[in-house]
Amino acid sequence: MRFVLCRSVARCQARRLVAAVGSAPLPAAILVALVAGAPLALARVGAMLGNELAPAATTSGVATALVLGPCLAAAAAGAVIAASLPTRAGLGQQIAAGPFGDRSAVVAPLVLPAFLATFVVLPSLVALTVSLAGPLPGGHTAGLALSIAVLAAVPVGAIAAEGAQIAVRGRRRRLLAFGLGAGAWLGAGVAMRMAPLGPLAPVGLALRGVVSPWVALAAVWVVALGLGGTWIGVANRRPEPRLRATRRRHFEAAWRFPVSAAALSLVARRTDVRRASVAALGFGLTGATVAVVAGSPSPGPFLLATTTTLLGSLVASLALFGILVSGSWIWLAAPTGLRSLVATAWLVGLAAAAIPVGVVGVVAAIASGVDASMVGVVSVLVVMGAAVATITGSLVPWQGDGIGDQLSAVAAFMAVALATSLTIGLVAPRLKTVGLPDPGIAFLLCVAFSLLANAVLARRLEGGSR
Amino acid sequence: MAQGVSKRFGSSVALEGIDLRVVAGSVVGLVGPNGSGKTTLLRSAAGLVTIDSGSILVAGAPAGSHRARHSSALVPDEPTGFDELTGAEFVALAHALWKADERADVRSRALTHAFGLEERLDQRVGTLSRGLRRQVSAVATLSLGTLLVLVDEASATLDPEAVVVLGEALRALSARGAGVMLATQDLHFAGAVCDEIVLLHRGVIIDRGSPVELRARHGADSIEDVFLAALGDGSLRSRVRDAFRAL
Repeated sequence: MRFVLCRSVARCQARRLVAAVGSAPLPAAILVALVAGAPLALARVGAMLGNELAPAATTSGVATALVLGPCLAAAAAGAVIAASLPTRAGLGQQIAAGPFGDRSAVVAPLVLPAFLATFVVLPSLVALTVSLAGPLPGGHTAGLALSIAVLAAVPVGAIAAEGAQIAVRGRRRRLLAFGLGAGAWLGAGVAMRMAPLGPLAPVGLALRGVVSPWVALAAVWVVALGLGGTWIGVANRRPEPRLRATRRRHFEAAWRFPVSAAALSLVARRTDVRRASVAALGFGLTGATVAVVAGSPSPGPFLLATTTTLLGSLVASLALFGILVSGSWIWLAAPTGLRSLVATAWLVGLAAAAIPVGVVGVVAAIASGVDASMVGVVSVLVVMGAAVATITGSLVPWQGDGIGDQLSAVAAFMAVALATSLTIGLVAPRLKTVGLPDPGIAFLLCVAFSLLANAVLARRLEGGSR
Repeated sequence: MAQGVSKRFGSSVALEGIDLRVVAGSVVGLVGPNGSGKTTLLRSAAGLVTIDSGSILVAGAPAGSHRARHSSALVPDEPTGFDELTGAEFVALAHALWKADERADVRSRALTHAFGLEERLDQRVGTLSRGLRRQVSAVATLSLGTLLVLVDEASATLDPEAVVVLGEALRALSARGAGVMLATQDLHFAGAVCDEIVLLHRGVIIDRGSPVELRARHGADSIEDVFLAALGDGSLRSRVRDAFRAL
């Protein structure tokens, strides 16, 4: 039963992906080539970082930061996935009424995206962490354990997002269970003197050479499997949303709804976008707090907080095309230029991605201080991230109904983001050798990617979603 | 069987104290204005909506339980979610999920032939028009041989030929012993197909009976007139005609 459902859902997702590749074969081929080359490049980056960090790696703070940084990012990604997980309702009413368990409905849309994400992300992640940990006391095996810890952090974020939903929906008993779980997490971390890492602390200890990396690897595998199972169990029992009374408005004939306001309302009212933004805010503020409490010097807390938030808030840009295409019957029929519509929508997506980052950034800046150059770096990251998310969402649409749309879009975003960072890594140094200053390079890249995002969005919107 | 079923969405009442029984071998039609609770009642019976109070039993099991799901199937208003599967694959998926026997294949072939869908089943569901998608959805559900068949907006988006086929298929299923509960705005269809019509208004049953009983009770010539009379809107036509003089 579960196999039949998984196979059918995976078939839908695979066909959608093939259609997306077929509509843009050249970018897809470039993407595949870049993703295939990523592990080599990241292995070099990891080795360089490892050599720089090796002298300080025996200290608890550095080891904690090495584990916590990527884990927070993975947790934010997990929260986004949980926020977008369609569960039973996403199967469509007819199949959702079928005689199979809720767990099958949760697992089925996850299989193919998890498989693809593993192919896209895992080789690069392992290459980075193993080469990074090579010069450290724990060695390559500790690096492998770090990879698994990052994977284990994905369900941590997802569970936290489910907990937030339970809190919003007023289920006190279940919330109490979440509180106990969080307490157990901290308790495990405190027992190993790395409180924020919880049961992932053996990885930090292994990186420092305090415990055997093989023990850490075994322990983190068990934790990862346990967390994965817990997430599926929690998602399987997601409570129904509480509906609020809506204000009744009288129709006024003279009232007009500008395109920008309509686009902003459509983006801001999407449940998945709101959930992801709230989760991103939560993880960003957690990152800032942990970094400040751990005594990380400026601009560490600011960068950790803002980049973690950005990962979640980019869902607004990722969902943009899906939102527009579902109403294309009116957008395209209206006597408004497509370019102005697309430009407005792009700015709306950018604003929706930037606002949570701005909020967290201000809090982190007040708590730990930051200079103007770092604000500039994060601003560039926001613009580039929004552009990459818009392009990805246009190629692999994130929509409200189709199964796995969101999950496929998340997997594609990882691949495009990886490919983009490699491309920038190749292009930026060459621009510098020409004599361009850093701000000029950043500005050029932002303009180029913004224009590209607008062009892709317009082209895909004209051609429809499929 | 529904007993004292109530459901609210926020502050709005979707269903209030609904008592309803769909006997095996009968077709019950839910009729009512938009937002009267027809779809909510169907979705509650399918286990897709959790009711606030009361109970719904399907073949003796609570709605939403494994046994109840196995004994019922739904043709939704808008079949979505598997646009990338072909029609044939979608029907096969439904058969696999409901663990349907070989007779389901026979039934699906008969339904496919009756709807004239033979050449459409190789197309992906997402490429079909809304009406054809609903026909594929009907083939998948009606061929399962479940004890309870739920059909939302039964005749909506279907061409006149498909409406006739659907009506005949539902009658055939009820003759075989299945219970059918459908929601529709097509009052002519309801009058022709249903053994019992249940009039819903703001989540409450305001009248019920066979088409003949309802017409006699309200002294009406058609189910449409019964509907307007039951809602207290018998003068609707003349009222809006006056109002539309401004047009």
